[in-house]
This record gives sequence, C-alpha cells and structure tokens, in this order.
Amino acid sequence: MSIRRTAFKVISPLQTTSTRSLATATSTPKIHVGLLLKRNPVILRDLTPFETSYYSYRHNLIQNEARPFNPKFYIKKGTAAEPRWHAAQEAARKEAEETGAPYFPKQPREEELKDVKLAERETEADRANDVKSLNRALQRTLYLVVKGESGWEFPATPLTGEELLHEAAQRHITSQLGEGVETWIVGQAPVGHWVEPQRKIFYMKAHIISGNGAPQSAEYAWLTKQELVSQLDPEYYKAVGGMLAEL
Amino acid sequence: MRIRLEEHYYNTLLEDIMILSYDHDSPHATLEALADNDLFNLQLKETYLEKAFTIPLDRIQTLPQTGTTTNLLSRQYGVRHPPLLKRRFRRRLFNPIDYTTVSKADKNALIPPPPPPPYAPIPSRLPQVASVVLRIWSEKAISNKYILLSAIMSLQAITGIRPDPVFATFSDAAKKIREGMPMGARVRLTGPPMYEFLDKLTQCVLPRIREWEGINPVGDSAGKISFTLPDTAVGYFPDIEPHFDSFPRLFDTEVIVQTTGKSDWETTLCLSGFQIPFLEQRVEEKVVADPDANDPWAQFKKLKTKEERKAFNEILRKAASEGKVPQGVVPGKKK
Repeated sequence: MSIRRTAFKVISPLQTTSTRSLATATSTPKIHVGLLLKRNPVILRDLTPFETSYYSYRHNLIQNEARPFNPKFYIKKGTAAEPRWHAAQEAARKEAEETGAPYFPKQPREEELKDVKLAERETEADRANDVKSLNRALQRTLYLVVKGESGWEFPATPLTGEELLHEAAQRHITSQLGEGVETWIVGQAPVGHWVEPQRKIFYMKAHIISGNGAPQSAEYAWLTKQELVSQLDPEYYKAVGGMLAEL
Repeated sequence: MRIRLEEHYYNTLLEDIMILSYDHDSPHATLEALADNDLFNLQLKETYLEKAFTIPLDRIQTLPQTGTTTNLLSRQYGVRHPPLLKRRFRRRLFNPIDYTTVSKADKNALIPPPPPPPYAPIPSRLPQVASVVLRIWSEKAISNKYILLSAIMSLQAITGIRPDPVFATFSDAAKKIREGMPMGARVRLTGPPMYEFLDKLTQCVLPRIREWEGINPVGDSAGKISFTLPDTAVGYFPDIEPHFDSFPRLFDTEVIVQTTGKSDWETTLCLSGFQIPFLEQRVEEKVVADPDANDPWAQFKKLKTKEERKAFNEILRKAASEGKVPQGVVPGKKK
C-alpha cells in the first residue's frame, strides 16, 4: 500500500505544481509506463568445459563415497523386475571391464522409454534466426522490444487518467499481446526509468508465465541481453541495461 | 550434477525478490541519501584476482602487497632474494603457488575482499532456503520400536541421506513414554539434496494431495515455516511409489523449511518462487481464553499443587487482615 502511495505521489500529474507563466512553453515530459516483458530461460544453459569437468569430478566423488545400493530391498525375488535387474547388472559389469571404469549398479532401461526422443536444445527458430518467435534462445532470458522512432526500444504507453503504473502496464500488455498470454507484473513499483524531452518512461517488470501472442506493432523482436547490447542505442542501453538479466 | 531449482533461484528469482522486498519508503533509499552514501558512490577497484590474470607471468606477485616474486620465477628472471634463515629459525610456511617458503607476515597479509555494492542482489541480504528438516514422530513406536525402520527407510528413500533416530527427551506416564526411547527419525538437508527434495515435493507430491488448499503462511517470524505431509502423501514421492509394497507403514512427516528470511512475508515470498503453494490468508492459531476467567467458583475448586495452595492461603490471609474473612477459616503460619 505504501509503495502504491509513493508511486502515485511521484507520478501523478495532479500533484505536480509547475511555476509557469503565460509566456513560457510547456516542456514537462509526459509520464509513460514501459514494459520490461521477459520470458525466462526454459532449459539449463550449456556448461563450459571447465564446469563440465568440475561436475563430473564431483559426481565421481559422490558415487565413490555413496553408501552401497541394496538391491534386495527394492527388487524382490520372483518378481518380473528381478531378471531385468540382473541382465542390466551383467551388461554394466561387462561395460566396466571393457572400459576399465569402476562398476556402479545401473538401472534397467524402461521398455516404454526406449523410443522417447529428447527435445532439441536448439529450435527451428534458432536455426532460421527468427527473432519474432518466443521459441528461440531457450537457454537465455528474452525481452520484448519494438521499433520506435529512434530504433529499438522497450514498449511504452502514456498513462491515462488516474491509473497507476502497474495498471497501465497490465492494460498495455493486454492491448499488445491479447488475452491469450498469462503474465505476472512484479510488484507495483518501477524498476528503472528513462527520460526524454517529450516523455519520461518508468519501466515495470513482467514475466510471461504461459501462452503465446504476437504484439500489434509490426516491428517487434524477442532479444537476449547479449543481442540488445548491439541493437539498442548506447545511451539508452546504459540507462536500461542494469535491469536486464545476464543469462 | 546440476540443480534445476538452484539455477532458477540465482538466474530468475533473486531479481524478483530484490524488487519486491525493496523498501521505497526507507529514508536510506532516497536519491539525496544515496548521493551522500560513500559506499554507494564507491567505484570498485579491480580485485587482486582480476589483476593476477591480466599481469604477465614474470611480474606476478606471490602475495598481495608484497614486492617479492616466487623463488622459481625469480631464478628464471634473475631477481635476487634476501638469504633465507637457517632451517631451525625459519617458519616453514609454504606458498600455494610453487611451494616455496614465505614469511608468516607476508602469508597473512591478505587484502580483505571488496565490499559488495549497496543494494546489490547478493544472497546474504535476500531470503534464501537454508535447510529443510524432515521429521517423523510416531507414538506407535512406544509399543514396537521396529516400525521405525520403515520410517527411516522412507526418509532415506526420499532424500538419499541416512536419517538419525529421534529419542524422547521427556517422560510421559500417561502415554508410557520414557526418556531415551526411540520415537521417530529425522534428517536435515542442505545444498543439492535440499533443492532436489523441494523439486520432487512441488512437482510430484503436493499437486496430488486431495482436499488440501495449501500451506498456512504462518512461521516463527525468523524464516522458518513448517507443515505436515500426511502419510498418504509420502507414498506419492517418485522414490517410494514404484516400491510402495516394500514399506510396511508410512508416517506423517513434518517438513520444516528454514530460510534466511527475516519475516514470514519474506519466507513465503522466497518459497512461493519455488512453486510451494500457500494459503492467501494467514490462519492464526486461536488463543484459547482462560477457562477459569468467567468461572466465579474457579478459585474455590480443589487446589492441586503446593504453589497453588500457598498462593490461595496468601489471598485468604490478606482478606482476613482486612476483616473480610472470619479468623477461624484462615490457616495459621507454620512454625
């Protein structure tokens, strides 16, 4: 409640008192709300070779020091699981002898899972470099940017009436992406701001939780922070870059 | 082994927790206050480690703030070293880079790490899950302590860690509990096993519990929140479900989650980021009013303990001294 009140006090046009005489021109920038609409990473990121070797070293340590597995508790005699378990162990022992690696008990492969194909880490949109697809760069956070008068920028809309920042943000999300996208706005206070002569933009952060929708504006893109560095105006990026997630 | 939830916490959750727990009304958060804050305006200097990787190998210092280079390198690049003392006068402290000796003063002259920038989302300032304790306490173990083997095995199957038995620390004659009797099992999880447990709990178990609305968001206001998994829900864990018949009995399991949050709000904020469902409203335990408060005869009921009788006699004596009670009723003081 207190944040709401503070934000209202700061941005409400009713409360601003300007000392303006008749001859001066109005130059007070109009309050806008900006959207920092993000899609979180879908899969775990790729590891560096150093991280891979570190994790495999840790894994081996844990395997070596683990309490020995007791198959008698889990695999009862005379069950269908018993011969499958023994076959899997024989195969694992043979493999360990051939490779010279230590033997660890191995679970038999499920018959039903034999033909299951893992989803690809690189999607069709990645290969086609389709920046309009939400199904790209699964390892990284994506941000919605639209083409404005001065290049790419985060979508923004002026406040109307006495609405609050998070209400305006919700309105803009619905008008841009439609009702099919479920989003969550983080809090009621802005996470950053950008001032121009004509407008003053306060950015509200929002997550896409589910759904897919295309913005109304013709020129839009879903970009990662690494791509935004080169796409955004340097001055603009300096102001908004701190709001973006590294991954 | 990589932990899904842990990476989610550091990549996504930490930012949101910082945004939501930022106090905009704080006098320390105003721009004027920040302009005067030396820590906020501090430009971080490059740290020693950064330097170590950018300096050419022949110029690299053995230890921070010392002019000495390592012996092996100096031999190669022709730098003279002060002669070493005789072995028995020398403190043999080894340099971790090439195992040459260094003096104790040099060895201990480590630069303290630079302070983190203020308002940085470092986990020590924001709520984070510290540990999860799973605890089973069963009064059925009074008559048969061997049923605890099933409790221990179920906890071990869920967590992968061997639990400890819990012994009674009190005696209760009505329940036939004697001090030291094994009454349950307990396991404390931290790090990767903890996140794995939370993952299984939120993905496989909690969605399948019937007629259950969520966890009551009432904790101890110091980052701890606990709830009880019914024995039927313990069977939903993917480690137990395929071998359900191997466990003769499953028990109600208390899950105690300890976070570094400083209030119940921070704790629920952190835990709901891991998709742990909470009730919207706090359900406070109703304070049962003293049943004797409205009973005018309560003070005349039979007094059980010595202290109660003593206090009652005091009241009587006081009333007698004021002349409200006839003298014969009041017991005399023991001599």
